[in-house]
Amino acid sequence: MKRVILTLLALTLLAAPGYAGTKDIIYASESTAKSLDPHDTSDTYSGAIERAICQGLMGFDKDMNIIPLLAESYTFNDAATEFIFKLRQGIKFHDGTLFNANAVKVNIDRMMTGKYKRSSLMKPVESCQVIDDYTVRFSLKEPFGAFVNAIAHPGSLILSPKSLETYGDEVSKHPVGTGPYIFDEWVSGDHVRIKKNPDYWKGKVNVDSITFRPVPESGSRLAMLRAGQAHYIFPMPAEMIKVAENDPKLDIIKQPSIIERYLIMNTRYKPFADVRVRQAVNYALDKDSIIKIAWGGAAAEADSIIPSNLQFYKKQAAWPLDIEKAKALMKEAGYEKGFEVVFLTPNASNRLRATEMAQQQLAKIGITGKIESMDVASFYNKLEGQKKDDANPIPFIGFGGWSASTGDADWGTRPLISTDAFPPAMSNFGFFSDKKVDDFITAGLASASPDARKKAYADLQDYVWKQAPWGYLFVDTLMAAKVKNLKGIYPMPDGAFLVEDAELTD
Amino acid sequence: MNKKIAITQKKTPFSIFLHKFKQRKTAMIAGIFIVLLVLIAVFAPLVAPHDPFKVDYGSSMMPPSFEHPAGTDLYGRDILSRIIYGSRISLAVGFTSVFVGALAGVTLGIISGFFGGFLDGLIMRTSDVLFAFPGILLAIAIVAILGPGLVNVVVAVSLFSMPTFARIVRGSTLALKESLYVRAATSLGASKKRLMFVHILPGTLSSVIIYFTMRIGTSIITAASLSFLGLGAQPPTPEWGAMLAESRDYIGVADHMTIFPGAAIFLTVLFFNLFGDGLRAALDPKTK
Repeated sequence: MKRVILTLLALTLLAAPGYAGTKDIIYASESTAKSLDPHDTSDTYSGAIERAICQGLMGFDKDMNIIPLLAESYTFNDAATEFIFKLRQGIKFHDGTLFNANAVKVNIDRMMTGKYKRSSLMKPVESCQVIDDYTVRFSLKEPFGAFVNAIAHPGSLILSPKSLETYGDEVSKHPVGTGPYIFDEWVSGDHVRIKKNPDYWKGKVNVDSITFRPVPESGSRLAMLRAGQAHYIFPMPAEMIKVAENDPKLDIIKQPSIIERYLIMNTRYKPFADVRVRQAVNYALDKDSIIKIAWGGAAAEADSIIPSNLQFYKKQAAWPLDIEKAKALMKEAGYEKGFEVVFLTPNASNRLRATEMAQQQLAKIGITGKIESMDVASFYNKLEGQKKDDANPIPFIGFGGWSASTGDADWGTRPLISTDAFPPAMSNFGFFSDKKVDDFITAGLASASPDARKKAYADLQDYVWKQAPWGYLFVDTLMAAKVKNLKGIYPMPDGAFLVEDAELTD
Repeated sequence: MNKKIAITQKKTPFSIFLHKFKQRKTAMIAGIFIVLLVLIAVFAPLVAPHDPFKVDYGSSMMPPSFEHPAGTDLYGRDILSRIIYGSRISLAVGFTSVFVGALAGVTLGIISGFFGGFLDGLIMRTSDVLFAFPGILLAIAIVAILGPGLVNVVVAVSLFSMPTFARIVRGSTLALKESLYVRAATSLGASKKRLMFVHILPGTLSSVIIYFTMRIGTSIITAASLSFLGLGAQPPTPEWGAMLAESRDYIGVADHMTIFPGAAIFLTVLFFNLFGDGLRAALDPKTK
């Protein structure tokens, strides 16, 4: 007996200091990491983990404002064709390599080979030159006012040149950067673990490790958090918000996103070619109910073609719910008796619900039709497979959504409503084409001066809002939930997150 | 003379069947439930308290009340009315798909058993291939190829009901083919068609009927599963499986939205199986 007690005592003594000393956080998420090579990552989740390990010249704070990270400052010429970055000195990568202009060039050149998923970010770049050890210059092929946003994007993170040499493209499994956390372990299809960087250039990191664990089923995610098996979950399922609110151990975090949801209509063909029909759709949609019922309240009504968190956003007057006016517009357009469409939607339950509600509401003005729901990949394949000149176009209404991950108005408009963005090139799935819109979009990129860009995008938003290329719906509100003693993890408007300031109090 | 007639009347196959069937209480209850369900389905517009498609966002997810005995769903539609209308779909899908499957399966089975040889090999090996897939997986594959929709669900379920019917009937056919009365008919010069459909087919029917009834339950649950996965009925069709799929995110928040359609599926399938069990007990000569 005595022996048992002694053993127990010894074990406790051994275990106790370790337990009190390490602070390990478990982040449970819907998604699974797909790559840890920033230049070759197209999903937000992997990008966010990379951001904890690596840093770019510029970055975003938790509200998507651009902040300098590895660069101290930058300058550009009036034509927005040349950008010069002054780099911060004395920073080392996790493998001890010194961060300097050459490291930047190695990374940018790698992206410019065009081989990687994020190579498109460097598409406007003609060349990247090292001016001195801590100055780099980017020369662009044509004016690109949103270039700093491309530099701040998680696709443009800087990897250690030595690691690129050692691992080549296998760097996706061994990312080495300058960030607050060092890559520790990635069990493919399962978790990614990162650990504290003791020599972080900005200062002390407060937790010892963070484990990113995929838990796709939303009910189990919440259950894990409530049972103390996770410290932070994202997304918090909106349907179960009441359960989480009633749990005194939990905090719910809400953050307006940059994800806009809308109904795509094929505007190239009758009947949606008529602006009055599209306006009628906007008058007939009961956005408020859709948000409440289909989205569990986790959204705010759209009030411009871009979400309010994007740069150069300008608020517009909301489309009120007005069935009479919608009917009158339909009559004016010659569709008093209505017409049939196909409702296309990904089969995720919230999107299906929103489409079902749109179907219920549009039936009131005579727009009726069946819902075709399919998995996300098939849905986008179907939209991308459309032809510009289709002899027998099927009028459809599709449930669309877009996250403008550069945080800039350009990426929230150009890929979606410009004539150059017809599929399969980009995502203008409704074939919306308007000379004025194209001109505003070009003007927005012609300069890097904030005032000129602001003017162009304000005009664009004023004009296109009334043109109603989409049935405007809402902007998602991101919801995460965490245990009360965890601080400093922030969800970002694009669905990513920042863990740099994470802290676990006792 | 009179007495003799009375004895023969008592011994008609149907009266024996009825006598045996009545002894199984559960099967009787199941039978009554199925008759009721069919009546409800036929007279749905008269029975349902509300319009199953009428949305009312103001009364979203209301718990059961006097006005809505099974509560309302996400869009404020009356769940009881939707279940009542849904019974039409489930019964129609269950019955049609098994009927089509049985028709094709029985025909193939008789052909296979009667002719033997190459045809037999071909039909039975094809059945073996179909047997190798778990039913629901095969149905998913078929619907994935044909596209979602109730009609395609019927096709899928019929297709995977077929081989079992074929096999059952083939077995009986093989036995009956050698029986004395069939041999007699052959020697009297009956045509092959006549032998197959007049002399052999009736002999296989009892086992077909048993399996038919059991199979309806399975088909209803398969159709509901496919709709649950979004491959069957499309919204706003009030299909039971689709109703479950719509409300499963709200388990723990609004339980009534899943309990009632779930119970409808459960009870219907259970009663079809009990009814089938009763039939087997009554029809199978081996169970006295």
